[in-house]
Amino acid sequence: MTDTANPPVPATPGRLRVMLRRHPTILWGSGILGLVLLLAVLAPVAFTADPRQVFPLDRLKPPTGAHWFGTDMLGRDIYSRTVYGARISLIVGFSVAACSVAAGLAIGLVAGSNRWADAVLMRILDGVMSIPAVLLAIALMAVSGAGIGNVILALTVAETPGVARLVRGVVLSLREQPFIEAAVASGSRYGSILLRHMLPNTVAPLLVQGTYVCAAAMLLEAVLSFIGAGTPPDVPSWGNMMAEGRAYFAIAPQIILFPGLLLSLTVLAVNLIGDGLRDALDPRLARQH
Amino acid sequence: MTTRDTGSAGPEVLSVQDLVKHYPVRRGLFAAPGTVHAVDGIDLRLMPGETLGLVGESGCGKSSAGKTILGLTPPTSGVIRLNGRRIDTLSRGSMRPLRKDLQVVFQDPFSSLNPRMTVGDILAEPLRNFDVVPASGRDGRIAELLDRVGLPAAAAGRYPYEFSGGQRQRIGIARALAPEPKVIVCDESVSALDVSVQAQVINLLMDLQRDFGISYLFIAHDLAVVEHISHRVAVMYLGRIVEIADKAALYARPQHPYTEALLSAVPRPEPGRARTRIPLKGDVPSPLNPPSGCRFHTRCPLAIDRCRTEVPAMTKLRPGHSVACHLRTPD
Repeated sequence: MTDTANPPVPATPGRLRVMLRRHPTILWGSGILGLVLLLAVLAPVAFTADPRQVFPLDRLKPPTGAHWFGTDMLGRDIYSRTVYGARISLIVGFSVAACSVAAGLAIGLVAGSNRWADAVLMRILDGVMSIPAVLLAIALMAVSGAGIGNVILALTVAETPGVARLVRGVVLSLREQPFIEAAVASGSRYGSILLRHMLPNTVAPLLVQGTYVCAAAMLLEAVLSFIGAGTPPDVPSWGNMMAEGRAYFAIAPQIILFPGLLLSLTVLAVNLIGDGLRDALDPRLARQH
Repeated sequence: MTTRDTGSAGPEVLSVQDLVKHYPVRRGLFAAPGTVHAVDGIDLRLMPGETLGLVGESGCGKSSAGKTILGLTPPTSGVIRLNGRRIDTLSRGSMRPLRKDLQVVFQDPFSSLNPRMTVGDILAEPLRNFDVVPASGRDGRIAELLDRVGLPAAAAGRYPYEFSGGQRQRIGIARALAPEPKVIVCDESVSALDVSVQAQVINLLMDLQRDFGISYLFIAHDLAVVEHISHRVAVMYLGRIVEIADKAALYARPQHPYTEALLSAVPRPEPGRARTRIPLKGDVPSPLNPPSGCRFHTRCPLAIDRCRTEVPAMTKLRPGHSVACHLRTPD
C-alpha cells in the first residue's frame, strides 16, 4: 500500500522472469509469434514485391534468389504473398480472440449471476454450440458475404459460447467460495463483488482460453478461405493461397508448402503460449516457489 | 410463546426463534424431490459480551444455522433479530448496512481470503462499505487492526499466500473486526489450525471480547475448545438443539444422553480419572429423512416407546439449564 517503510512486494518484472524461466514454452511461443508478427507489420519493407503483381514468364518457379519461396501459377512471388498473408491470419486470430473474450465475458458474468438469465442464455449458447464451428461460419458467411470483417464476425459468433461457458463456470464456482460470502458480510454490493472479486479471478483462465480461440480462429479462417467462403480471393491469405495451389501440388508444392508451414508455425506458437500460461497460472502450482 | 431458551435477563444482541432451514434436493430425474432438514426449529439468545458455543457432529446443521443467521442464505422460516430488529425478512439491500454489527470468521483460512487482493485491500473493503473511517484515515486504521490481531503493519501490502494458516486466520479476524461489530459468528474458526495456533487464536478472540464487548456465536465440534471460550453452550443434533446450559453446568452435569455421550468421548488430561465412555451405536441418521419423535432415539441407550412418537419439548430443569428429553424433568 502506501507505507514506504514496507519491504517491497515482489515486483512484476521479477515474477515475470521467474515465470518465463519455469515455463520456457511461453518464451518459445512468444519468440516464434513475435517473428511472424514482425514480418507481418514490416511486410512492405521486408524485401517483398507487390503480392498481386503477376510475372507471366516466371510461372511455377521453384525457390530462387529472386523469388525466395518460388512463384505460383500466375508468376506471383510466394514469399511476398506469404508475408502479406500473415497479416490476414494475425488480424483474424487476434480480433476473434479479443471479440469473443469480450462477448463471452459479458455473457458469462450475466449468466453466472442471474438464474433466469442463465437459463435463457445457456439454452441459446447450447444451440449455437451444437452446430460445428465451420458449418456455422459457412452459413454466416453465406448470409453476410465474403470479407475479412464478416470472417471475424462469423468466427466470433462460433467461438463466443465456449468462452461464455468458461466464465459462467468460474463465476458459479467462485460464488461458493467463503471469500465471496465474506465480501457479502463485509457489506459489498453484488456489482462491487463482481468487479473486485470475480473479474480478477477470471483473468487467468480467460487469457489461456483466448490463446486457444486465437489459434482456432487462424485455422478456421484458412479453412473458410480454402473452401472459398472466407477472405475474398483477390486478397492474399494463407487459406486462399493453399486453395489456389491445390491443383498444382504435384508440380509446384511450394505454393502450398510455405503458407501451410507458416500457418502451422503460427498456430503452434500461439498454442505453446497458451499451454505455458495455463501451467504458469494454475492456482494449484502457484504456491510452489 | 414459551421461552425455550435460557440465559440471563436483559436485552439480547442477537436472538433466533424457531429458525428452520430446509434445502430442497432432487435425487435423479424421476425421484420425488427430497428435503434436507438442516436446521429444524432452533432458539438461541446471545447477550452482549457473551460467547455461546454451538456444538454437534458434522452434518448436524450448526454451520447452516450460522450461515442463515448471517443472512448469507435465506431461512425457510423463523425469526432472527439483531439488536431487537428483525433481519430475516429484509431485502439484500436493506440488510447491507445492518451487517456492520454482524460479522463472520470462517473455517478455512485459505479460501476465505481472495488470493488476488492484498491484505490492505481485504481490510479496506468493510471500512469503505460501512464508512467506519474517512478515506484519509483508512491506512492508519488498517495498521491498527493488523496490530490488534498481532500482525505487523507491513502485512497490508502483502498477499494472503505469503502468510501461514494462523496468520491468515488473524487477517480474517481483523476483517471481521474492521466494522466494529457487536456479534461475530465464528464458523469452525479454529478447526483448521494446529493445536498451538488454535490456542493463540482463541486467546486473541477472548482478548478482543474483553476489550470491545463483542458477542460470539462460536460454532465448533471440538468440545474442549468450546469449553475454554464459551459462557454458555448449546448442543445440536440433527437440526435441533437438545441441550443448552451454562458452560460449568453442562460440562459437570450433562442431562441429555447425547451430551453425555459426546462429553464422555473428550480425552481428559487426568490419568485414572477418565469418565466411563458411553459409545453410541450407528451413524447419524440422514437429515433427508430424520427419525420421528426424538431425533436421537435411534441411537439413545435410554430410549423408551414415547421417544419414538413424541417430540420432546425444551424443558427448563433449573435456571440456565434446559434440555429436550422425555426422561429429564425439573428437579
